[in-house]
Amino acid sequence: MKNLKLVLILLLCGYINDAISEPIDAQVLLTSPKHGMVKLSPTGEFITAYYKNEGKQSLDLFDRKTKKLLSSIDVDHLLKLENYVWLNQTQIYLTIRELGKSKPAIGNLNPDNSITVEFFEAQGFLVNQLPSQPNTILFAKSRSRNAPYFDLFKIDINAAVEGKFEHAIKINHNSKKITNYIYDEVTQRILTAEYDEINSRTIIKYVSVKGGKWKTIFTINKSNYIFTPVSFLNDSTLAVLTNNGSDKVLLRKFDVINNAFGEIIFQHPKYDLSSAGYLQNGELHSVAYTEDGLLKKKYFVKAERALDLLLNRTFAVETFYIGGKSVDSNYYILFTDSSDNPGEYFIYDVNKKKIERFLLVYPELEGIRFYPSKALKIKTNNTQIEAFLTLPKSPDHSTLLVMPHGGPIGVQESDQFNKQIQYFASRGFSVLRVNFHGSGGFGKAFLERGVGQFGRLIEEDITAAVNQVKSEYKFDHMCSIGSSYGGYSAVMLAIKHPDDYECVIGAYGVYDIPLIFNISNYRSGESRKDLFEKVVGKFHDEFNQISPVYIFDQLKAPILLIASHDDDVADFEHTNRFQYVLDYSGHPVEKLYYYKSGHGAHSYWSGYWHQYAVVYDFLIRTLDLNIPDKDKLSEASKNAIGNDYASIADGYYYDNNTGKDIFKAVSFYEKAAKLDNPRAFYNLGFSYYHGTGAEKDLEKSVGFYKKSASLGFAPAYAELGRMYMEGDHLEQDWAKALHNLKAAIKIDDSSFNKTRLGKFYCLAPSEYLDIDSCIELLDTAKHNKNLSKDWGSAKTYLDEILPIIVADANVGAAEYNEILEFAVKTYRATKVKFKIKHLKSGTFHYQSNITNNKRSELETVSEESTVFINAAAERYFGIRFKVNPEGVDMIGDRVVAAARWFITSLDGHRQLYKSMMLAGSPSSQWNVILEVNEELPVGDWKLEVYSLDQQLVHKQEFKLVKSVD
Amino acid sequence: MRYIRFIVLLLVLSSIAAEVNSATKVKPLTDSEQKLLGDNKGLLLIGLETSRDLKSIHLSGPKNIILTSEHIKSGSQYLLVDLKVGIYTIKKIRLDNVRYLKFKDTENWNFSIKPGVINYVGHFELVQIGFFASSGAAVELVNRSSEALQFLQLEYPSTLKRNRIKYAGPGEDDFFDFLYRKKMIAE
Repeated sequence: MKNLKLVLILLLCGYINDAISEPIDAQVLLTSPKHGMVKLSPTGEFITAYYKNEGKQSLDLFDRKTKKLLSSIDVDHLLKLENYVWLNQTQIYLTIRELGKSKPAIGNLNPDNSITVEFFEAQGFLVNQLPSQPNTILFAKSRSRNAPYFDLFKIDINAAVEGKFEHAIKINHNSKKITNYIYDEVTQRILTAEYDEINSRTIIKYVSVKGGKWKTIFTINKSNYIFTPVSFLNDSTLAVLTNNGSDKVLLRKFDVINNAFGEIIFQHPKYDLSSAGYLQNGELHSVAYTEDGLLKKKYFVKAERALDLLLNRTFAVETFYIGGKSVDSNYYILFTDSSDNPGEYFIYDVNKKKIERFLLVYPELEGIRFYPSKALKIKTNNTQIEAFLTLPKSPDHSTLLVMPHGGPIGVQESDQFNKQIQYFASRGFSVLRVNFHGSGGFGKAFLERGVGQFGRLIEEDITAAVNQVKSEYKFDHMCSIGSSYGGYSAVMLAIKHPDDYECVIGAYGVYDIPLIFNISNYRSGESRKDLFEKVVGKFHDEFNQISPVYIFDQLKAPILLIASHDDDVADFEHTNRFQYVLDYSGHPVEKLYYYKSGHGAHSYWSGYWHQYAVVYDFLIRTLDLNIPDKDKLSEASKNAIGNDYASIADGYYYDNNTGKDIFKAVSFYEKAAKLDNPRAFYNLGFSYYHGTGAEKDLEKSVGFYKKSASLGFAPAYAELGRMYMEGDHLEQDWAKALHNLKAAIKIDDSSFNKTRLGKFYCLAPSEYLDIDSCIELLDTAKHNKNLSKDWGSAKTYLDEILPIIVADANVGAAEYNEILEFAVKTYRATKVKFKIKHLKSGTFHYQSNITNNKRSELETVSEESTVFINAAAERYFGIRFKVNPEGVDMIGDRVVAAARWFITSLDGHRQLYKSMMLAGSPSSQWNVILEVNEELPVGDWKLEVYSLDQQLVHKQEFKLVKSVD
Repeated sequence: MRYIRFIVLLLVLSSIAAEVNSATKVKPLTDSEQKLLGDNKGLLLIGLETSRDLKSIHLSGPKNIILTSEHIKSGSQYLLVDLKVGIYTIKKIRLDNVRYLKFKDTENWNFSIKPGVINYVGHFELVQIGFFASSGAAVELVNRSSEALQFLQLEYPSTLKRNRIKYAGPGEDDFFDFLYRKKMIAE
């Protein structure tokens, strides 16, 4: 056994260290994986890995020996690398998604280890890389553009890339509707599955790679059983995964000539098999199943079996998966994850018996302590079920969250790394999950026992698990929480055990079972009845007795209802009905309704940050728990809870997916600020500055900005810099302005911060004036466009600040020339000097011209300089004009002007209201107008228009007054 | 995101004259309009959730009806009209002067108007897909009874007091009757 000793080299320290267990920041935890698709090149010389993070995605090439990055294929942010495969030592086949379509591409490895990517001329996809035939692939080529039907070719790789199919071997087959192919190396056959919609059946067929007619192997009728072809064992025998004639899904032979099932190849006594694999020589390689919530593989090939044994001995807790190996089997890629491990890749050197940690799936989670779960065996009446208990460390609210899974039929609770569980465990909550009857993976009988057991056996199973856990652990509080069926189950548990559950969180739930059968003209009725009955059971009159809507008065615990208006799995109507009856009866109910989150699938991670934060806040308030003392929390954990409250505030503030309530937003920003959340302080500063959600108070605003800046929040520095620069509320102080603007850039080198400092350098007094720096910083074209959002806002900001620089820059002619040159280049002006002609000033409105379908035209309502605010009418005030450039007007000439509006309000305070750059042809109609609305301050308005050479070409004054009705 | 449940191709009228019928145009009621329904009339309540403005909804039944309203704008709204009792079918939706949807699967678009009650037939949901010649629409009649009830309580309280609301959409639904039994709808 000595030779089995494994040398373990951990190049990275991994996820777990001695960090204190404390709340994990949702914005760190709930994100997309950064590394994936790690693969070895055929010889094992290289490793490729996909990397994706904000604004950057790439396929990285590493040297296996040194683990050093050799080169990267940068993938544009509009594209997505779906998958890739090494074809040989120098070529990688890539599937790249662009505008909803998958496109084939080839990556050619150059001698300098760079990779050149080339898209295939033809559309289609790789069926198989034909390992036994070097440089040849089996490629399915689209018959025509956008058609989902294909011709099959055995073709040289380079010819396929170039679209030269003339000399390729076409595999003739007679079906027009085949859209997927599996190549069987053993028999050199192509397998496919065709779905017959009319008869609701799936037909498994094959054709020889030499061509010919498709031969039907088997037809699976809708109510039958699982039949998944794995591999041909010989010309007449197919290995299939099936539960025909057995309780569990097992691996079995199938005689394709006589259409008969043969001997069982492998079965697990307790679990369904989820997959099986064969080697090219027809030898069984492995089978997979889920045991205690973790994917387990049983290997039948000697080398892999030995490796599996070795790994299991070395890493008692972890589950390793073989992710790939070199052709000579000398090098392996291994992957491991578990309930407290988000996933990491290793490289195994067979000859040296050396295993090295290579990449973390979530590098940003490195050093965070996660919470392992315990797999429990729960005894129920006459069987045993699996459950998983995750316990917190510190903080510990002594609260058990019972979390039934969705489905409920055929869904299996896993014990792999679960971000939601980690979120709640790190915040001090224990979480119990149960694989109740009806869950998948445990055989047909176990699954079918759950059908129609809504509110009955399923909840009894969960309660058995709760009781067993409570016999071993003590909890002061217990709440139920779940999504989809889990939402229903959470409510039913609290209804059935009113003394045990202190609160309920039901998300995207089903609360009215009869409603499932009459939700719409297309999603219910006879055609869908069978489908529903496989889950809910036969329709019966007693459905109301197990529907929370109709037994609402049996619910005693306060409830948080979460739903989305566009959910078409558990329609919003379920939740709305439940809320209606609960509200009517005066039951304590809180709600969190999204507009567009479907069946709980948020489009952005921020949706999950928000949802979980709302749940956390609900739990804390409802159970009267205390959030951990901020002085006892680490900075990261303080920020974690602060960010929770800030996320809730964001939901109320921005109104992008929930109802807007800026006063509530401010109250949650205040909660976050109590935890020293820098962004919350900034947003409070903003709210008090603008009087949104709080009474306008500039003193408070500046205080919040300063606090935010002291906590290192760049936008706060930038805003303070602006206020000092412009003398906005703060006394103008160029030194302080520079200090703050530079501090902002030091923290965040963003385009926006650069343009703001650029403005400073153009407008500052001589001791700070620096035109070169100004132009350098304002030139957004030189900024990093990958930060596109910020770049766009910086560009907009440039439009706002350049008019101020044009109007106010107090510099010498030579220096101003530099600014002029920059403005001319940036706005592509061909004429600088101009005069205004055909001026119209006053109040205008848009006159739609529907009859000839022309765009709306602006028409004069009044030429008076006094403008009345009249909420009922859509009006604009300002000027309309044409420009008369100096010299001869040429077609294509482009004139650029700078304009700014000032308001002197009734208290005599004068301030810049708006500034903008204008550009257009001399033949165009130019408008500088503002919409008259209640939000515009009344007072004296002054409009100035400048040419780029600092000449004031026009000024106009208006008086804005309230209408007297 | 709500997935596309049923897509119909938008048809284009060859000419306005091609649309020949003798349908009656009806106007939505206001809450203050006291309609005497009697034995042969009931109220139709239909919710509309559309991604674009609609020109008209065409019903066939005891009398052919065109629900036309300047209020059928994109977004969410309701139409409440009085109709003669009987079985009706939503036959056609006119999007504008030239494009329309015609439903051949009439069994999916039937509803019954019962006398003396508000017959809520569901929410007609339409999402236009594509533009011009290649355009189609995802359509469905969805049971959103509780929302319809809340709408009536807010906008038509008098009408709701005078007339019981009944579900008349796809399938059978006991929800309104349950609320009446529990006295959760004021009568």
